[in-house]
Amino acid sequence: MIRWPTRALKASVGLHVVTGLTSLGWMTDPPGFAQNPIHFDDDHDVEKIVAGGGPQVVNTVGLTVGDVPDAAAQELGGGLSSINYPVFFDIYGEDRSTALNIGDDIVGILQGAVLSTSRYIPLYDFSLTPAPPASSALLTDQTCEARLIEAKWASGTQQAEWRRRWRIVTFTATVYFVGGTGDTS
Amino acid sequence: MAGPIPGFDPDQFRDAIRFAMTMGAPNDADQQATFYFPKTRTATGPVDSTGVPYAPTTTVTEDAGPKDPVKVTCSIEDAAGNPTETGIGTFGQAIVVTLLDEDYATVVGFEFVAYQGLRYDFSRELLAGGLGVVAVHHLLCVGEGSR
Repeated sequence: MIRWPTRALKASVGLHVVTGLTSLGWMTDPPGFAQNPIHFDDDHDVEKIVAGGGPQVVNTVGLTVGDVPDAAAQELGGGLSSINYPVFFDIYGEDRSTALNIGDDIVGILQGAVLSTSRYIPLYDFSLTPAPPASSALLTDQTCEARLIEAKWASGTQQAEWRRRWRIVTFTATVYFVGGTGDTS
Repeated sequence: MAGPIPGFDPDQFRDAIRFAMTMGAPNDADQQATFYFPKTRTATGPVDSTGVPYAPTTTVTEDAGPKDPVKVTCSIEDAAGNPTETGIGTFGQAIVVTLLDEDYATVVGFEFVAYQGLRYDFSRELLAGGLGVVAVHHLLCVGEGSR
């Protein structure tokens, strides 16, 4: 496993989704089917969005990785292990319909259901330029449970208008790797 | 009300407001609001969108920034009076910084304000107000943790 795999995973998933969204026309200004292009934030901080009274840019898509569980042995004696990373895409659309559209396309990209996107995403080693796929790990969404859910779960008095345009795609990214987790390369 | 008001002395008004702001500021100068400006980071290798390197061998240097940190007279209001309860916790660490127009011009473009040992990143400008020709700015800044 490469060193600092969580950041590599985050960047790899982000690159995969941005590439897909670009192909689908979301990154063009204007996209045509919306007023504003997507602003992709791979350093997303939900707390700051909430405390700051909403996103500063409409159609922001924020990527975060949740608590990382322990690696699980997949094959006794063979050394194959996996880690299931919880990944979240917070979508703050310019309106509710656009938020749903963006969410559906992200789900489609992650599930390989739109364009010719693959369900299998290489885990890139971004410490090198250009970033090659890490030889010892493969990130895959084979166990993908991408779901689009509503995010207006705040208490009533704080129910700002922007919350009603907030949707979340949840996604489990499984990284398979062979060998220990202590590599320093 | 915007625009000149007959008999209204803007400088006298600013002095009075600054006097009140100063009275409300912490006595310890180190605890008072200090505004910091963004610096440019240069790395010797690949970095992520926040400028943090991917490789442990990469080094990062920071320039001096466009301005040194600066203190101006302002008032700080805790904006977390009604923290937001969510399914995963309670959010709301934020402050509103109120500045008069002249002091706002000094700090505009700042990246974050350090106040009482904590860092608050600039988020957005709230609705501006004013009296006569004096503009009053309210800036929402979001907690980023210890400074």
